[in-house]
Amino acid sequence: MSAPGRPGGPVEDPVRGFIHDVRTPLGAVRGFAEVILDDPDLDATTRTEFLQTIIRETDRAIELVRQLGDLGRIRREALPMAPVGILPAVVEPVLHEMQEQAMGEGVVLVGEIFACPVTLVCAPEWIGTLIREVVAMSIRWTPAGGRVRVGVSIRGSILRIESADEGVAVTESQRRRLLEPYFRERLAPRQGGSAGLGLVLASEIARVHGGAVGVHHGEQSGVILSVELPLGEMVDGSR
Amino acid sequence: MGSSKGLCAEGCVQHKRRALVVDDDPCARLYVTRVLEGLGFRVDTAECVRSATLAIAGPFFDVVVSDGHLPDGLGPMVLDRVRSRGRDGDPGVTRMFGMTASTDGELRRAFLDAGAGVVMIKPVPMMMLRAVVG
Repeated sequence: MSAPGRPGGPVEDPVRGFIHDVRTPLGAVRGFAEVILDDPDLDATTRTEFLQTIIRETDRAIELVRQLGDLGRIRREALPMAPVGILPAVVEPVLHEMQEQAMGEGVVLVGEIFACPVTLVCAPEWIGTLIREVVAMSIRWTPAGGRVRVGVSIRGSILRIESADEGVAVTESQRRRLLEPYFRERLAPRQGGSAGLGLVLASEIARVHGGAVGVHHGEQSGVILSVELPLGEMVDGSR
Repeated sequence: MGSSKGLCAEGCVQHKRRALVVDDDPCARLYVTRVLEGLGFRVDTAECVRSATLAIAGPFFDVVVSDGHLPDGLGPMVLDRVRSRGRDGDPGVTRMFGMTASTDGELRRAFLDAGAGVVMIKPVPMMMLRAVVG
């Protein structure tokens, strides 16, 4: 049986996994709407909580649809590449945006940028998506009150981004499968369910830029997601 | 049936039925819990096979509802644990149900082989959940 996320049985077809995964938030939306309709005496606090759940689960379904659409686009379309000052144009604003997202989840995001200004020939919007997906996954896996550390550095001719979470440790077997679609063996402290297509999309974006996404065990616990992107030589000799 | 007791209007001892809901998705857990509580069940929850196994080792459950895909295994494994639990002091037989977002026929068969009375496909309308479990 090649069921979604089954231990040892990854799904190769992201559409099939999508069909499975989108039913869960849709079920919650329908279920909580029915609960509200069914109980006219529901107290205001509970009603508000259930309506917020409906909004959150709708966003989750929309996010799954977006990831699947983005994955289709990046596999189908040629990306418009251009030299970009990657740190001020993409990395810093995206990290700022992700800090706000982390705060909303009760997680502290610490950005440590050890790179000198560099130019990356890339599709900047897609690199932004790549960083968002990777960091969002670290936030998702970190318990409230925990910290996500994002480090940006240059190693030779490689731009390296590391995103370290404080979630539960994974086994070596789980580490090897963490980039598979809809991986669900690592329980997220807040959302549960599967990891969707976020890291698949990130890997695909890195691949079309000549790079890769990696998964490593954290120093004490947790997981470190790494992104490596090659820096091309520029005409003026700078990178 | 069940281990939770209360007094009915006439003062007789009444046992509240007990249910275990197993799902790794917190919203799905809350939804099923809410509906089952509305049916008069006292509900315990678990998020994976391991925590379900710990719960099953405790009090008797009149009903177990399990999701299909859990972080550490499949829902039919939970039902297998319930079946193998059977203790002399149990006040009855646990009714078991599968609930999954997968339309995979093999998973459905595995649920039925493990003793599920019904396998529900998500999204599960409240009326269906009430009719099947209640």
